[in-house]
Amino acid sequence: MWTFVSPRLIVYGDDALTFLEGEKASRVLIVADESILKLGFVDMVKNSLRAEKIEVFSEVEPEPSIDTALKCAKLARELQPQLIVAVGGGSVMDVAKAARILMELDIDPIAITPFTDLFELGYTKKAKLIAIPTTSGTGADVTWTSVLTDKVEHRKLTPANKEVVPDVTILDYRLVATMPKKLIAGSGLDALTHAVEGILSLWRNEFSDALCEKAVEIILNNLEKSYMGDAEARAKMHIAATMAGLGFGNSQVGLAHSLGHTFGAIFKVHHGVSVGIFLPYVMQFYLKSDARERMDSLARKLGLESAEMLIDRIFDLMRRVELPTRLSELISREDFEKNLESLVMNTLNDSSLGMSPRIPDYDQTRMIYEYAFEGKRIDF
Amino acid sequence: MAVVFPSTDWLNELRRRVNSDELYKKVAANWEGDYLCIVEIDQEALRDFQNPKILGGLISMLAAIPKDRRESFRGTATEKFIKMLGLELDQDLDPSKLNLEEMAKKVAQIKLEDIKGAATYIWMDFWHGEMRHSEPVTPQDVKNPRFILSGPYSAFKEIVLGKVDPTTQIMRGKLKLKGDLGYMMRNTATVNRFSQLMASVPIEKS
Repeated sequence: MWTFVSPRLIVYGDDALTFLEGEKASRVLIVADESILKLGFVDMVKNSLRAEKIEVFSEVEPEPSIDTALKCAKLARELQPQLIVAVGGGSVMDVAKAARILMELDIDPIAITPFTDLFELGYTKKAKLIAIPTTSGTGADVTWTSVLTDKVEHRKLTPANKEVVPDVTILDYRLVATMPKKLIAGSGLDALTHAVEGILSLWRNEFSDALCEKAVEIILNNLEKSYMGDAEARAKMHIAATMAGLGFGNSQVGLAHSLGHTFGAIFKVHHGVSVGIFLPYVMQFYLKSDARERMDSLARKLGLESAEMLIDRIFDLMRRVELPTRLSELISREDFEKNLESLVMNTLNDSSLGMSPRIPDYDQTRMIYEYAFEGKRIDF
Repeated sequence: MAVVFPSTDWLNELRRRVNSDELYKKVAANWEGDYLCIVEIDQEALRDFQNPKILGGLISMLAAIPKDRRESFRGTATEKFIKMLGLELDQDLDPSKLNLEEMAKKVAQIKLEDIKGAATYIWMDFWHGEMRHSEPVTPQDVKNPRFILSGPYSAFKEIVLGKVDPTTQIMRGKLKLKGDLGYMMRNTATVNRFSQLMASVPIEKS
């Protein structure tokens, strides 16, 4: 038995926020961050709501910590909202998704696992959760995981449960119209990584394949255009990111995310960049596994001859949107070597690793990092 | 050499592999915790146990439990299954001295509904990179295991044959996991390496 998890509703368009006008909740908690507040998106949300009491939690930091999720849950416990609206990027949505559960359950967030029966622990789903992404990459608006950082151990943890998924996602193109170029590139690469890893995951299925394959096609055709300012391409990227989220959320990601989670947590690198930079190297590593056939098949569907050409196409796209293609563009050799042991061990302990079609051992993980640092083609 | 599952030979080989694996020692250096695996007899088990060698493996598990502790099975579906094989809980159960061919024929007559709930219990205890214990037990022997993994024989068999990993079996609803799940999620390298080692034990096919 398998299940396909998704929000009840996906609302999209350049006026999608008007959907909020129909919400009946009298107490609402808006989760955002300071930059979203400054951009006026929180006010746009507030203006669409008819609630008597609206509180805003805007303390979400990039790569949010477990403590931030607990802090947000504390505010939610006091307010007892019937509706939580997460407006922002992946960090904001991850905090809101965890806080909705933690406002009812006094548990360690990492105890929210796919195998946990939250209702048995007393969860009653008091609040509805609406996600409004303001970047086009994370897919966090439709996934049932929440990525939080353990600041003590410097590693990403992923509370995950089918109850984590938002009830509604709103894709309003206006919110991504002014996205900075750097963010367009980084979040777009994140979406591409989700879509490709979703296709290669051991848990892939017909539903996830359909969504991820279409997402790869849209992203390869539109990311550069969106980066150059094409509004139509920007809207397509917004749809593709959620499409990839629906896909990989139901098949899971793999090694690129294990490497990226670890690298991002230690060196404070944007999530999209840190997972995306590993994508082509991981695909090279997968060439010597059963996944090769699927990569060849994906390449052919995209009009490319082979998996190698698809990998080259991804490297080329990264350069075109001015993203780094090797770790040495982001960190020094000294910092890299100082942290290499932690990088390897935390990667091996990352929960995404288990669904990879080829799982590296300790030495191979070390070599993947070294090759990605130098920008060398992986041939082992 | 290939072994049958379940059997004490399988448990011993698994323990040997875990305790001689350098990578396991490294990734599980901080792991503290035990599993109680409850392998429930299902239709596939009843088919496999018609093979005298595999049935002998199952009986070796029961034989490894001292007679006085086997009393815990008294009145359970497990006892009923044992009786249907023509055995008693308090008898000597050395598989090499039993007529496994005849007993395997009796398995063919057993209906699953008559022994519903019959199971074999395996306790595996890990401590800082070492598998300290791996032994067949009764339901009363292990009071508070950190994890309980339960489900039908066919689901466990797929894991030991390396066809699928435990996480996938749990996600598919084929196995149930209870316990300190947060701890497990923080130590996926340990869980993954152990799963790989479990799948590496050569299994004699039915």
